[in-house]
Amino acid sequence: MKEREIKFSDFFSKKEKRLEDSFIQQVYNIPGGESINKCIQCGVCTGSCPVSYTMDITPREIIALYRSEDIESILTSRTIWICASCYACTVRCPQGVQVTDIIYALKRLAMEQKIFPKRFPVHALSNTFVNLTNHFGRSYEPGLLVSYYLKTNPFKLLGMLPLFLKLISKGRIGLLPQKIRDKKGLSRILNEGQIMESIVPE
Amino acid sequence: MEKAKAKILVIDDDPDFRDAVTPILHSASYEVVTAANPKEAKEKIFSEKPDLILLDIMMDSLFDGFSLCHNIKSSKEYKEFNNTPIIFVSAVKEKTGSRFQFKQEEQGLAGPDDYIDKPIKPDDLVSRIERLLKK
Amino acid sequence: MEYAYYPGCSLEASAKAYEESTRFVFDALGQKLVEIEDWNCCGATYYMATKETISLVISARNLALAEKYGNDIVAPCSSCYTILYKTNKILNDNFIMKEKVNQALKKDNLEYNLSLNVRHPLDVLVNDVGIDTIASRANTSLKGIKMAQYYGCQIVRPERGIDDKEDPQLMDRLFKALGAENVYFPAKVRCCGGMLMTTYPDVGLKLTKEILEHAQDNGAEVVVTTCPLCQMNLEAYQDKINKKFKTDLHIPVIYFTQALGLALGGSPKELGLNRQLIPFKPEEKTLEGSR
Repeated sequence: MKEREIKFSDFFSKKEKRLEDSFIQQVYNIPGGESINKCIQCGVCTGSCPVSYTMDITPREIIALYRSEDIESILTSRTIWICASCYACTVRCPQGVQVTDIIYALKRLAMEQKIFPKRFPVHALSNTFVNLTNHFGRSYEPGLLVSYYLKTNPFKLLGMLPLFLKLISKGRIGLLPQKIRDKKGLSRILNEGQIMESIVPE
Repeated sequence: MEKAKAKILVIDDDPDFRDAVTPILHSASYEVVTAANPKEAKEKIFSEKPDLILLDIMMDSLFDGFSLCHNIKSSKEYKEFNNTPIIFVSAVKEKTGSRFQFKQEEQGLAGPDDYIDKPIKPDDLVSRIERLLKK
Repeated sequence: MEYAYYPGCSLEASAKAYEESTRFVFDALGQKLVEIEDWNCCGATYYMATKETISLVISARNLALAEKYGNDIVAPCSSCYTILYKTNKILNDNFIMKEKVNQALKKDNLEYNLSLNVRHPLDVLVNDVGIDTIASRANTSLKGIKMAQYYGCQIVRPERGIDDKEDPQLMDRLFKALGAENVYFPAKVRCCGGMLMTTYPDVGLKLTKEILEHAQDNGAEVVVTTCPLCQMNLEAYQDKINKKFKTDLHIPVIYFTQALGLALGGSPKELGLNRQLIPFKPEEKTLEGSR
């Protein structure tokens, strides 16, 4: 009888396996995404990152955690939400790892699985933005910020007031959101897009 | 000829497939109607009221079969056909190297009742149809 | 040349000056920008962070609409530029994704046939129009204006192929040819923090402070940018930074099209310079004399 090969993943729960699978699927959709397997753990990504000093898991550690099949720890870190997507890591990686786009994939996975770090509401901003954009077809900066602060910390809204007023006086804030004309068409497109979003390889 | 057991709608953009599958279904005593694209399929569904649908996945675009399947199964427009069994019959695996499905954790998406890869085996096709119609 | 023009949401509001000056510059150089009819939000980086396929669908709607205008779509906002560029790349690279996106677009009788190049106006102006042509059309010297050319992240990163990723030169060359003095500015591609200014202000303020200090300490009298978000972050929060870090920052931050527009004889009003929070008034000392 042939001995069964024992895989590392046998030691992990179903949930972790599912996260891993969804993640790999997303990563392979990125042009050049497969280069994640070529990481040599040199740390150039972390060294290049302007915000790694305030991350709990550095970009290099993200790849290490992926290798040890611990996606959940990455998703609960605040790292993925603090990435400003400046692509410094990506262009400096000697192995061509698409670090920034991998972090985007992790953000999407966290949104989908509703796994967030505590007291870290960046995903609220994304959600607000998406809702506004779906509704108007255009984004609306003041609406976005007001709605974001109301959801997270209404007091900060007061602190923003002087800047808002200054911008209004310079004609730099529209008092009403812009809308596209073909809102119905856009919403048909988005509905179909949702169906397409949900098709995954078996 | 004995009375048809049921009416089957074959939706496929490939005329060769429609021509090939029709005699197979006839010989198993099914009535066959065909449609060559999602638009024609819609007309035929309402005019012919099929008991079961064989649905290709790749027609005008790679995945329009999914969209049609979801609509037939869950939209108000197709209310009276929401429970009509659908079998995907597709060469998508041959073309892309993988079968596709709706994400399981996603709510409210309706996939097919069965899935057969092309090329089909006639006996297999007929037995799967029978199994679904018996339900 | 004629270009399909994608202004993006910021250029309709907070970055109105960018819109005004971009149109002025293209006009002055005899280049035509045709605004894409009924364009929608590109989805920005937020959308990419939530749903993959839909984010591509929403940005590809613009590409599909733009195809009838020609081969180049021009997007001044760095974020729009990045998103449209990335969408174009993914759809070219990934057949399955392209089919999914087109299946969605079909619901509004649209289709994207992969025929576009996504361009930034800086690339178009320097590489299509050419620095020599621009310099020959310039009627006002920028002589003596000390500039810090701030490119930000997304114009050159990730692979864009229009300039060096670590030490881009497009703006440096352009403004040198127009008489400006480029100061030593190693922070030219450092990240301004982007949306962190809202979500994590401590981090955002620190990043912005470092960039502004590099500019001011090296003697720049103005920072020149290519991106609405960078411009806002660098200009609007200087008071906050000064308060928090006990610094003394006070430096105007303008769009590169505004600086270029001055060289091409635009008035401050035509170029939206009246919209600055920190005014930039070079004409008092330099522009007047050279006219």
